[in-house]
Amino acid sequence: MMEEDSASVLVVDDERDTRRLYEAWLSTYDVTTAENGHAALDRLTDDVRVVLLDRRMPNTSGRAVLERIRARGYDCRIAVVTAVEPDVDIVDLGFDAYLTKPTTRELLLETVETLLARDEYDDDLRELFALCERRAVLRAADADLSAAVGTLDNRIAQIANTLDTTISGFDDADFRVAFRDIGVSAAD
Amino acid sequence: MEERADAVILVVDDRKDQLDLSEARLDDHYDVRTAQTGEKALERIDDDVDVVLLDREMPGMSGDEVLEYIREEDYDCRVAMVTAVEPEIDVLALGFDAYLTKPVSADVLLETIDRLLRRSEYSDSIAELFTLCERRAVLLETHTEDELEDSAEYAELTEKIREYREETDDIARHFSSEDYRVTFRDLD
Repeated sequence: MMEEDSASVLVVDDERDTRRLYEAWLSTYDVTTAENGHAALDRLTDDVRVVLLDRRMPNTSGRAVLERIRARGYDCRIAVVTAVEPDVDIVDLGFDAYLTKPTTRELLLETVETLLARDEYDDDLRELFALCERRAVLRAADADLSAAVGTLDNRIAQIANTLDTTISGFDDADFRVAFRDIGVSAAD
Repeated sequence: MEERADAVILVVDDRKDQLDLSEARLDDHYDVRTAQTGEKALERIDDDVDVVLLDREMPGMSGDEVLEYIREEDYDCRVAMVTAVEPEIDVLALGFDAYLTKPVSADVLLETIDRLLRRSEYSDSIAELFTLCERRAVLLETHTEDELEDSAEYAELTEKIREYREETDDIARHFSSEDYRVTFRDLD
């Protein structure tokens, strides 16, 4: 998994102790905190990659914050962190992960890491296509560029490995199957 | 060839006749913008642009510099370099998604744009699939199958996952053979 130590994380919770705890757990990240929904929307920028969002807060609820974040088109991943047992009403809630309180340090860190990896997936996939295209260009060139092709081979292998790790780290069998299925059916 | 009339293509070339030619070729298929200098290209790029066709050799700001700017600003567009320059080792450092050598035929131009748009669609579809599967995983962890069976929302979610799986599958099937190999990691 790619290290994203300086990635920006926004923690939204009305309880000060909780904010402090998460902040301490996430010390390797660039953490901003917000004590309510209003402050959260104020402090959200394009740099924020992951939002940890308490569902139950006075005034603006987690759901309302989530909906506004999506409506404004921010490209961040959102983990709902909550004492509320999920009901089927979460189906239309646009979160990327759901943690039930009390959570643990390990679980919180793992969630942030997973979301960052998925966030990177788009970029990494674009990069993989681009590197392969670059390699094809160099291979077709008149000059001897075999050393450059070798460099690209290594980068391609690395990034493919990162992508595959993200997919295999995903619990949902359906998601993994989606990849295999395509491979099998189109090879026919 | 599939066409997305709503896709925005920005064509950058210092030669007016080249711009006119590209515009004539693309106008029926896409929403086309043009820029006759690198500086103008920066003014005309925004988040709506899907593909940039970028001349490498221009007086003033070069294509390489425009490309660098686009990547630094994190625009989510694909960039095809269009150039009379034979690729050298320096292309290794450039973040383009495709490389076309002039003169470019109408077919190659349309095929390249189609290829790049398809990659974006594939990425978007995968991202959506990630999110939907995550949501389902949360529900599966916290509910019994009986509970979920009765839920219209759950049925809707499952249906959506199926749709996105099919869509993802469908996009991949229409990939060029090279992109198909990249997607399924047949990388040599």
